[in-house]
Order: sequence, then structure tokens, then C-alpha cells
Amino acid sequence: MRGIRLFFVVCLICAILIVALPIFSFISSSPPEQNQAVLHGQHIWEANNCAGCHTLYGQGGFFAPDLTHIYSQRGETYIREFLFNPNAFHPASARQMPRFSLTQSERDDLLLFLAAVDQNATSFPPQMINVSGGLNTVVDAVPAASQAVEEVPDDPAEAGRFWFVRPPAICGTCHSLEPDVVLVGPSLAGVASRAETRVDGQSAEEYLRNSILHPSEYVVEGFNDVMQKNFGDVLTADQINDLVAFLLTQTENDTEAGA
Amino acid sequence: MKHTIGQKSAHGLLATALILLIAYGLISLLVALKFLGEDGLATSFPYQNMHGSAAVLAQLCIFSGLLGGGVYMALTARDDQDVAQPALLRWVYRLWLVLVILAVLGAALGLLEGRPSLELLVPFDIALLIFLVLFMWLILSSAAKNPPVIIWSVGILAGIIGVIVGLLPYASFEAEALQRVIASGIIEYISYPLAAVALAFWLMRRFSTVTPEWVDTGVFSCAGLIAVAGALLTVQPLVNILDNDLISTVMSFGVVLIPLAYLIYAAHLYHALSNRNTATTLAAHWLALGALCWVVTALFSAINALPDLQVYIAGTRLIEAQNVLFVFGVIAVILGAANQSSAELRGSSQRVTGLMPFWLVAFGALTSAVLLACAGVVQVFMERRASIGFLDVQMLIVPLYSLWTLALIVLLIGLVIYGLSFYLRRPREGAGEVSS
Repeated sequence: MRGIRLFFVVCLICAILIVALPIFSFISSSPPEQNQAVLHGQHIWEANNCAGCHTLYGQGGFFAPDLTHIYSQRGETYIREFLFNPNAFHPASARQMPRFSLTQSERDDLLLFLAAVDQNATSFPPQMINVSGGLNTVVDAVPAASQAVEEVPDDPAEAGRFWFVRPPAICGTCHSLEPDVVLVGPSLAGVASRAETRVDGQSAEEYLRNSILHPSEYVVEGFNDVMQKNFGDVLTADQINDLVAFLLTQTENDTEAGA
Repeated sequence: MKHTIGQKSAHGLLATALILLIAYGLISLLVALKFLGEDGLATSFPYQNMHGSAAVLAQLCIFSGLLGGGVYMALTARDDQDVAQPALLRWVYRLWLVLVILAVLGAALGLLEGRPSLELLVPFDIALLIFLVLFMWLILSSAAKNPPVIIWSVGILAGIIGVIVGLLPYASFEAEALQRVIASGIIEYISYPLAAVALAFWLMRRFSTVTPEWVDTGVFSCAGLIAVAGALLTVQPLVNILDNDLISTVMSFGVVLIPLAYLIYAAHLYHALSNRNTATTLAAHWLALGALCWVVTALFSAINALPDLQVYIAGTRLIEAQNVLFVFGVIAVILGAANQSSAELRGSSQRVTGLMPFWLVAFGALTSAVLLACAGVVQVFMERRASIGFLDVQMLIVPLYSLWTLALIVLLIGLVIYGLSFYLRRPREGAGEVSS
């Protein structure tokens, strides 16, 4: 009996060492002091129980997407807009995120926290986990926050280009302007040339406008009907006009199509 | 015969565990419904509150059951069939019920948000800590030399350490993530199974002809291996948080050690099941179910112990399947203990809850875990390998979630029938002698 008790004690010591190992390893790596704003952002994350639905480093709820690298995937502007009105972004999804009443400074600190997590997570995940769609190149499509306060260009086509990559339209999240590059929806390179022939009786302009306002009426072959349906509510009439004007410049011969 | 305070408290704690378990089953079903297509209550009845409430109920249910089992185990080792300080036990038991009621109300009102892994708010955790210490002292002072009681106490001590680790202040989000993983791991993978294994070996003597010496040897050897396996399970998720080769190397040992520990426990149980005595309670059935859950979980865990796979699996339903099934192994032991103690308090070793709830619960638990694992496998391949978006994959696996929901309904029906049987055939004073 003494032998088996000794075996138990040895096992217990091994168990303690196994659990203590990462703690000592972490302490000995002397992690840098945390920015207070980041810690406040973490507090907001916890206070709103974000981990009840989302995961960071694969830890947390299983109801909503992993957010370990959401900062570099989506960019600051997108996340800021998303936090303000989350249900405008994935209206077709059954997973509706509650709208948390965060102040501007709380949103700032939460973003700093997400940026810090993004920077820290070097081993997880081995490849990007997308929120929706197939691939994700939103990092390139979403401009930096400093650019978000730029004035909207006067020229309608330029204004459309402006809104194409900015909230509330942010079409570049799902549509590429590179020929044959599919993000979630079809590439819009050369769309102006194709638009004329899509639906009988509809001009290119009518088709493009209708595709923004009523995307389910014509779904390009090979794609699913997953486009956001509320752009009529989210965008102003001017913004829609600008987007249509911009898309009409995307002809197959237009060298700018790949821009 | 009049029941002692210890017997009444043990039965009360096990009954509390059962009520909490049924409530947990109900909330889990509501949580599962939120995974099915359109959800009209998506934002008004948020998932994170329900998920948090379910976790609170599960934690309180398991601790209530383990404490009830511990009290009963200790008092059966004594001639007077009571603990050493019955008056203190009576008050600790009553105050525990107050804590349970407050925690359940807090969870129902959404007041327990913010600590998803540990769930209870800091004051509740401190209260939980005090109660665990008190119960452990009460039981150790009643039967300190009994090997299953010693192992049970080590399990509860691990729970106390886990709660303390969770309460420590942290200086960075990496430290907090590390702390949370370790705290919940110690509670879930070391504390729960150690206390449950102690109960299981105590139960083996009730339905089997195994000798006390065999039980004493078995409980120490299995508990030692399970403690090591629990430690390896605890550090598994850390490979996603800390980029450290040493951790990866250590967790790789889990590929062999985790299944080995639970297979050795299963072999001990098989020996006990092969040498039945005349007792006809269903404790043996529940222990067999618990062992099955643990062995399947151990096999899942062996896969997860490979660092290169863990990074793909973390955050998928495969991990949840592992957690749910593991915890259900503990719950099965508690249900076995409830079955056995209730039968003995009724004055016989006859069935209390019947076979129907057993099969319903077994089917519901195993099927729901397998379906979650299937959903997890789909997630790993589609979301993590083929880079299809999380939301799109979730819609694709709705059929699996539908079947999962059906399995949870079966599980809930089984638990309700178990609860009704447990209540209808509850021990009444004067019913007969208590077997020891």
C-alpha cells in the first residue's frame, strides 16, 4: 500500500509540474508591461461577455467567429462601424450580434485590445479563419482610419470609388476589382460591359442599381444569394448614385479595371 | 429508522445536483436552438447569457453532486452513519443551498456575465471557495483514513486551487488567458475527475465483490494517472496562446498518457463489473456509462494533444464535444452515486430510477457529443483548411445541429424521468435499515 501511495504522490507532483511549467515559462519570458488602454479594452471585452460568443486564441464561446486576427483581417474602420451597428453587416445571418452601447473611448480601447491580441497571436490559427465568404483580402480593401475622415470627392465616379472601400457600402469586402479574383461575390472588373447583357430590358445603369438595391433578383451563375439586402436603407441616394457611376467606369477595356 | 443529519444532507445535495442538472439540460436545449437557422430572439435573448447560465448550472450541479457523494461516502465509513460535526454540516448544507439559489437567480437575470470560463462572479467564487474548504474539512474530519475519501479530498483541493488561480490578479491579457485556461482546466480536468473517481471506487464496493484492499490500491493508482492526464489536458489549449516549444513537447505526452489513464480506470471498472454482488441498483450501469464517456473523450484528447492539430481544432465544436462528454462522465458517476445512496437510504439495494432514464440519458449524451464532434470535424476541414467563412460553415452544418437538438431533447426527457423516479422513490424515514 505504501508503494501505491508513493506512486500517487509522484503522479501528483508530475501533474503540478506540468501545470506549473507554462506559468514559469510565461513569467521567465518577462512579457512587456501592458498598456492601460489595452487592459481597459480587455475589461470591456470581459464586461460585455464577448467571449460568451466569440473565441480568442480558440478559447471562448462557439457561437460567433474567432476574433484573434480580426483586427488585421477587417481593419480599424470596419470594426468601428461594425461595433456601432453590427446587424447592418450580416443581415442574412441567423447569428445576430447584440448592439452594445459602447462610448467612443470604449470602442477605441476595445480596438487597441483586439490589435494587441492580433499582434500577440503568432501560432494561432495556422491560417486565417474567415468570418464569411471564401477568402479574405479585406486588409487591403479597408483604408486606414486616418483616410476615413477624407472628404468625399465631388466627381460621382470618384465618390463611388471612395464608397466602394468604405463603410457603409464597403463593397470591397466581398467584391474584387481584379479580373477573375473571387472574394465572396463575383469580381466587378469589367462589370459595366457585362451589365448591359445581364437582364433583358435593363440598361447597365438599371442593372447595377437594381443589383445594389435588390440583389436577389439576379444572382450571377455559380454564386449564392448571400449579398446584404438592406443597402437601400444603409446607403443614401447619393451614395448609390456614386457607386453606380463608379461601377459604370469598370469596362472590360478600361485599364483602371484592375486598379 | 431515523435518518441522520449526514444522510439527509448527502441526499439533499444529490437532489440539488439533480434539479440543477435538469435545469442545465433545459438551458442547454435553448442554447442548441439558437444554432438552428432563424432565431427571433437573437438579440433580445442573447446567446452569451444563456451559455453563461448553462455553465453556472453545470458547475454548481457537479460540485453539489460531488459534495453530496463525498458526504455520503464519509458517513458510510463510520459506525454512527453521520459525519463528525453534524450540526456544522447542517448549516453548511443550508448555506450552500442559499448560494445555489442566489447563483441561479443571478444567472437567470444575466448578472453573471464577464467570466466565461469560470462563470461565477468574484463574490460567488469566494463563497464557493469557503464552502469547498468547509465541506472538505467536515468530510476529512469524519473519515480521514479512508482512501476514496482521501482522493475525493485531493479532488476538492484541486477545485479550491483552481478557483484561487481564477481569482488572482493579472497584468496583461496573455496572463489572463493563461490564468483562465489553467484555472478552468484544473477544475474541469483534475478536480472533477479525481473526486468522481473516488466516488466510483467507493461505488464499486457497493455493487461488486471486490475487496477493500483492491479498491484502495485501484483508487490511488487510477487517481495518480488521472491527475497527470488532467494536467496534460489542462495545458493543451496553451499551445495556442504561448508560442513555446517546451509546452508543445510536454503536451505531446498526452497522446499516450491521457487514453492510458482512462483505459486503466476502465479496466478496473470492468473487473468490478465482472464480479457483481447481489445489489441490483443501477450504479454499475451509470459508472459504465461514465467510463465510456471518459474513454471516448480521452481518445479525442489524444488527437488534440498533437500541437500541430490542436491549432486547427481549437475553437471548434470538436473541443466542445470533448468538454461536454468529459463533464458528462463526471455527471454519470454522480447519477450512479445518487442512485445507490437513495436505494440504501430506502433500506434496500434495489433500483430507484429504472433502466429507461438510463438508456435515454446514455443515448442523448453520447449522440449529442458525437454530433458535436461531427460538426467540429466539418468546421476543421471547411473553415480551417478550405477557408470557408465561419458563418457560411455554420449554415452548412445546421442539419447536424438539428440532430444535436433532438439528442438533447432525448437527454432532457431521460433526466426528467430520472428526476421523477428519484423523487417518487425518495427515502422516507422509518422505511428500513441503512446498509453500510
